[in-house]
Amino acid sequence: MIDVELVDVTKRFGDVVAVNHVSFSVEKGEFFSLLGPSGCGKTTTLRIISGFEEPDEGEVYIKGESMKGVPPNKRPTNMVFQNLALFPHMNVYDNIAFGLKLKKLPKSEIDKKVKEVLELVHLPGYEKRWIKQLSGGEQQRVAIARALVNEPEVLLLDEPLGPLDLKLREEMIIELKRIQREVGTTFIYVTHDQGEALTMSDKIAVMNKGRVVQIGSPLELYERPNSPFVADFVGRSNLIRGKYIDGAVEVPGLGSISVEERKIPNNSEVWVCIKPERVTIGKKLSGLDNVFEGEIREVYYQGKMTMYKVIMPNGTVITVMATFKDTGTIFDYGEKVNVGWNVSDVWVIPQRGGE
Amino acid sequence: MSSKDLLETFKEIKHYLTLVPGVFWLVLFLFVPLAVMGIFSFWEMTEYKLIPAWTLENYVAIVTRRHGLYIKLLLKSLGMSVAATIASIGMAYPIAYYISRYAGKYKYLWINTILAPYMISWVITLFGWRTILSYGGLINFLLMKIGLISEPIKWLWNNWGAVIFVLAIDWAPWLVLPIFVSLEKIDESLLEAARDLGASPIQTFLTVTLPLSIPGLLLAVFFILIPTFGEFVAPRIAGGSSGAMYGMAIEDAFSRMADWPFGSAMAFLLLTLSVVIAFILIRRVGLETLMEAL
Repeated sequence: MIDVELVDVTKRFGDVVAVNHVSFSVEKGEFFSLLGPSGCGKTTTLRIISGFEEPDEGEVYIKGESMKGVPPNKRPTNMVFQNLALFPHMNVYDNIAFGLKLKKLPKSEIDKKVKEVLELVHLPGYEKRWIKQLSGGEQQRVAIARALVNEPEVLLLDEPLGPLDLKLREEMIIELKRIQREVGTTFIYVTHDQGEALTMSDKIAVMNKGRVVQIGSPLELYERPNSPFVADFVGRSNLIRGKYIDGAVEVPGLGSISVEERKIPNNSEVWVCIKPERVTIGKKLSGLDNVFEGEIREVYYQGKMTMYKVIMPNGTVITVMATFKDTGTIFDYGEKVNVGWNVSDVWVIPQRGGE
Repeated sequence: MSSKDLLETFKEIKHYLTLVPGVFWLVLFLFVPLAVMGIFSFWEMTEYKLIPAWTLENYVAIVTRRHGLYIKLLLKSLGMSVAATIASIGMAYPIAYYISRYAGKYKYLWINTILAPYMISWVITLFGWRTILSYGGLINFLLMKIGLISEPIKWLWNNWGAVIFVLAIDWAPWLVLPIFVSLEKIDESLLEAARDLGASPIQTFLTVTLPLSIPGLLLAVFFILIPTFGEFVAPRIAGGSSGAMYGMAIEDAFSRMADWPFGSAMAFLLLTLSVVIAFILIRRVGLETLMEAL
């Protein structure tokens, strides 16, 4: 069942096309992310769904109903704002009860709902506290509680984890996913952080320059990107350009990279996409479908992994992420090494105009 | 006392030394005149001479003289100030709201334009209003010209309503400032959050905008209530007999009646009441909140 549907939505601000013919649909109960670099139109898209912006073209449907001309206060959506937008002149209780009071629910019911939602976000007994007295993470939870307590059909989240430090962010990612599983509400989550999106989402729409460039599950986006942009934005990739000929890609100056058989016309330009952690690095490699020789140009030991930049004879630089366990040693600058991979580690992206 | 303690003490004193110039001027030009007035209020005046009688007679006279006219005048003045405060804020708030929300890049042009009337003396402004509102003024002239009334309306001028009106309208532009500042400080996303949670535009105003602009409103009250309490020019020009205010009585005591001790006592009572009002306002909202609005 489809909860939210955008059909050919376009929004312009003056000469700038912020959202350019965007269409997608979100299933009920899905954790759906809009992922893209800043200025890609993801926040504007969210504001169109919430009703803060009217699209210039196209339609938004929530539960099959057109939202044309419906103001934000009449939409079955609630939003968690980027800066949280908690009311500073109210305590936690009044913040959370804000929407319920407007619906004129009896006091006892409001009390009960506030109590329940505070338990859901793991802040029991926080009713009387002032917003100023809360830590960043607690404010985050109150903001989520304030939106969720209204039992919206769709919860919209506009990069709410932005201001948190890394450790708290990792905690909140897990918390958000747990909350979403428990309440079963449809979440639409805006972020520029591919890690957040991959961890939490059921489905991700990657946006760039106002357009949706690919929609899919985290696995699909990571393993089967449809464009060099997605390949690079979602988890960084080695992108090597070449010509596709019968299950292999000819790369000038490097040789032939064997790939899976695809329905791509021979001699067409393609990108070979290999994730850094799929590349094997070693002194002398064998038993792999492709092995190339190169020289180490940069080494970054990061603890969990070591990142190597290996330059190939044709000048192509291949980034490799390897654990210490994989290599048994840390290679040094200038060392001659082999890099290799299997056909199953490689993904081919046909080249389209302009890329 | 060891030398180390002495040094510490000296450091502490040094801290207070920075206050000296400011305190000096305050004492010389504010506290000394006020103290002189305070002393006079316990003296007597006979045949144009001040006699240090050390009596409370002048304070008693405020309540007793002319059947309690002066104390009634004091209470009436307070009532008129409160009315002018409410009316003035009523005028200033919508203007401040409009400028803050809709004036866009012309905000500061608006603010400057609004303050333009203060380039004209208060007395001239008052006489200007007289030419418009008085018995033979512009409004009566026009209404008679178009035949809506057959004789001039008398209640437009020379009564307490006219005093409240001119006070309110004169102070309104000034009150726009603190209200505007407190409205500007409200984060736009708070208004969006209220809308998102189901509030209509009016509900958003009442639950978010208005409460968050209270520091500015209180500062506005400060600006207008205390000065208008002792006002004596506006009631003299626009008040007639029903619009007399306490400030006029103080002025009369000093000039016409030449009873300085009685005038001093009345002034001192007004001052004390103003300080009490200011103190209550500060206590109610906290100095910090008031300063925030600045």
